Amino acid sequence: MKKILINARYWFAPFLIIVTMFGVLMGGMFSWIGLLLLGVGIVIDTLLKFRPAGAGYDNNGETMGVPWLQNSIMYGMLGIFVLLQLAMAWRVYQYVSGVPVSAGFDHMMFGILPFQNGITGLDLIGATLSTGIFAGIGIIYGHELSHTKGFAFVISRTMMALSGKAHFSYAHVYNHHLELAHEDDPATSPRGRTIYRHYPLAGIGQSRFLYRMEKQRLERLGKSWFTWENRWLRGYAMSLPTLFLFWFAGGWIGLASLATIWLISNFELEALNYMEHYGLIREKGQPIDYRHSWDNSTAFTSWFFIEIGRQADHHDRGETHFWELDDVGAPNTGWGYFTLFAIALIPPLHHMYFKKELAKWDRERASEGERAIADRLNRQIGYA
Amino acid sequence: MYSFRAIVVMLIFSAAVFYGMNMLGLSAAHTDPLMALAGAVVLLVALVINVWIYLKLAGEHPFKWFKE
Repeated sequence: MKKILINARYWFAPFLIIVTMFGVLMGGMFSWIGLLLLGVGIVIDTLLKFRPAGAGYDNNGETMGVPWLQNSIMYGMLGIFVLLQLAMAWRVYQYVSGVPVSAGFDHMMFGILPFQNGITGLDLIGATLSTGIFAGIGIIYGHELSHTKGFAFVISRTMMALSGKAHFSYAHVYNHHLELAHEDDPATSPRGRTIYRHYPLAGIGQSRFLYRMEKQRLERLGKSWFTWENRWLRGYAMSLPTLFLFWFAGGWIGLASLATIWLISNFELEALNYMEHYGLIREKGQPIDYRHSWDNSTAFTSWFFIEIGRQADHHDRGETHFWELDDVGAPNTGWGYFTLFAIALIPPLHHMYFKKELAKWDRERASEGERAIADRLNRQIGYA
Repeated sequence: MYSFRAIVVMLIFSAAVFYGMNMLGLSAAHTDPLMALAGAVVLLVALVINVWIYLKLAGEHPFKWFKE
């Protein structure tokens, strides 16, 4: 029973993604459910500061996580995300085709799900925001599977391609995990940068990494840059089915809806990168240590984000399954991702809070060389 | 400044693509599966070219931690 509960606690996100999909299908006020759930998540994560351990091990030293079960759910999420996009595209199609909006939930889908036929412009906005928010949550599975090889890696790329971000799977493993907390890693935000500036720079910076990696690789192989073997180009091509779906369903309105979904889901991904390493510094060539990541391990963050907040352990053991990650004594503000995300949305508040946290990091954890870089940056941005 | 210059070029390019799509009737015919596929391919190529424009025009500057 204990084992079942330990595994089931990682199903918050899949469950709420499915709830959001049903919200989009039902229409009306339920179209807004994703936005509501995000708000509820911020409140719960802020109130529950309890920090549990990872899944742990049984008396025989075996992990309490059930690999086949957790892996099946991760792979299955690809299908769920495709269904979420189909549901959203159907709503776009209804709006664009002018399907009359029924008075209430007086239609039945497959004989079991009541729904409002047709959708108003306002509810279409709600459905778009909800889909964007929970498509963004899906990125945690794309991230987890990017640390695998073969078929699972292809699943990761396909999942990320649903958000127009297939390059992430390569950039994350071959750039971020090797250059963390240094200028050469676009996913690490230097201190002083706002989330709104970090978002586009980190996104395009990761794309730039794969663009260059492929240019060099193909040159070495004596092949043209313009080839199907170019994984940068192929990654974007993997987004073609999604683009087709929304364009076919709604033309310009479909494109606007998809652009909003991609903007939100990619914002969430870069927000995670922002919170995981904000302001931390490593000298080029020096080993990556626990101090180069912020851990976030409140109960709701740990379970909802499948232990992605145990960043220090994750960067130490990149190919270790999420359910085996644990606390390793890394810097930890004590707040979860939902709370820190809300704070990051208000840059003056974020800087006021992290100015103090980083001063503590500089004093207690930074090496001599890192402190010298920190001093220069602090003077430049006014943290000194 | 480097980013700003790149973004202006990207906006002009995107506007030209959207205008071209309208002129060619791709947007009006988006409910035709083959025309929709053509439209999606044009949009995808425009996205890739936009990223390429940013990388070429903005260069290294926006990614630097220290002001020059």
